[in-house]
Amino acid sequence: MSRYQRQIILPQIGENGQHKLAESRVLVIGAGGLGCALLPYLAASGVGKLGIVDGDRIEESNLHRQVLYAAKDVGRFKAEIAKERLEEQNPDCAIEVTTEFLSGKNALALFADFDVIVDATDRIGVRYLINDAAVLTQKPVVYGSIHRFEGQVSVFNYENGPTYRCLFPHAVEAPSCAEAGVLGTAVGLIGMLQAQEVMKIILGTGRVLSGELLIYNCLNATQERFQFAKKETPQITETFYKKEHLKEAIQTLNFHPELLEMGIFIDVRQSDEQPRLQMPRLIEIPLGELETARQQLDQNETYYVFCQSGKRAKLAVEQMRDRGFTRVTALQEGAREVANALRKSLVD
Amino acid sequence: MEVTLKYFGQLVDVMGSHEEIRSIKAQNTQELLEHLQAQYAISHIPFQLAINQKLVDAEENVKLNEGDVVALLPPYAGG
Repeated sequence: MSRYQRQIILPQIGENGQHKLAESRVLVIGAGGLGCALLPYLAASGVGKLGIVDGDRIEESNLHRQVLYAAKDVGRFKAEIAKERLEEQNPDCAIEVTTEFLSGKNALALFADFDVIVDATDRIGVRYLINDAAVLTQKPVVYGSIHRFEGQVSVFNYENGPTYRCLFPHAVEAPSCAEAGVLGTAVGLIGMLQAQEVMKIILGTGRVLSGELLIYNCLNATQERFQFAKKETPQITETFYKKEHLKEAIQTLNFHPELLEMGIFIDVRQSDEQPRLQMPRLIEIPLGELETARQQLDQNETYYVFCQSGKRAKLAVEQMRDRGFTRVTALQEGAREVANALRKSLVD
Repeated sequence: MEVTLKYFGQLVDVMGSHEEIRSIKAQNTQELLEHLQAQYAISHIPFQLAINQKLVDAEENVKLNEGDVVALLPPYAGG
């Protein structure tokens, strides 16, 4: 055990703490900047089992901050290379990798085999999935995220404490590192703060950052903490999870002039978006007004929904299906392509 | 009254600083939000408000007091 001797002599750890580390199982979602920072320290400390979930492959633009990877690894799965490096580093640590992205389908089964979940991802959407799966499987989540030189850290669902949904109730995407830019040292620092929270949870020592959001600004070397309380809504139940994370993918349909005979078209764009379409059976309902306007629609009618790019059309179809409309489909094309196809069919 | 406003994440760019002391007519969080949204293009950025380091429930309208420190906290995505 001489490998761990310098930490065992800490009164907060001791033989008992080292045993807790050896028995612990930590699942890290994301082997990017945050994951690369925290994984080597968790492995080195003697954590018994580490899970790594990431469906991404290494790109050259990752190397300035994802320090587990070398130039020769470009093109390979991050999770697999991370496993190789960490096994070399500490053979005591069992490493289990999943080379696919976390999804509503695999999250619950994956979480079941671990004690602590680490959110080291880079999208807001998946953070809600991690949160909800952790609530259902009763696991604490150590959260970290980055915007340029600022990082956020918190621990959710710790001993039934507040969750990500208590902090940020509404899911809206924010810029990723690829969009906003990031420096390796900043993401490294935040990853290290997460690793420290994982240690505290496993060892049962110190004050876990539950119910508090820590924001560290790496440029100014300042930090602030904000307290937040547990909210009881939404209640994260199995039904809620299914609805949020196991929705069937909305099938889209390619526009064809024959569809004009088969159903009614709904344009869900704002009224100032161009081009406006001329069709025999067309209703214009901006997405935001769909909820009130749907009372005038017939649940048994066939509807084809379109917008400018296809995104809002899918949202509209989801909303309508939730309200009992069964024969509603999103068009693959945006308004401009539909207009072109219409014009072409008239010429032919 | 005078309050300190602190901006984080994407809001720093839009507001042009991390922190400022501002004289406001707003008496509560709702009025403050309306005041800021009327002046700055921030409606596309989601954020939560904290007063004196405590998060305010988004559905609640909280009275502001002289000298309050109001933080605007957006979620971050990167990692």
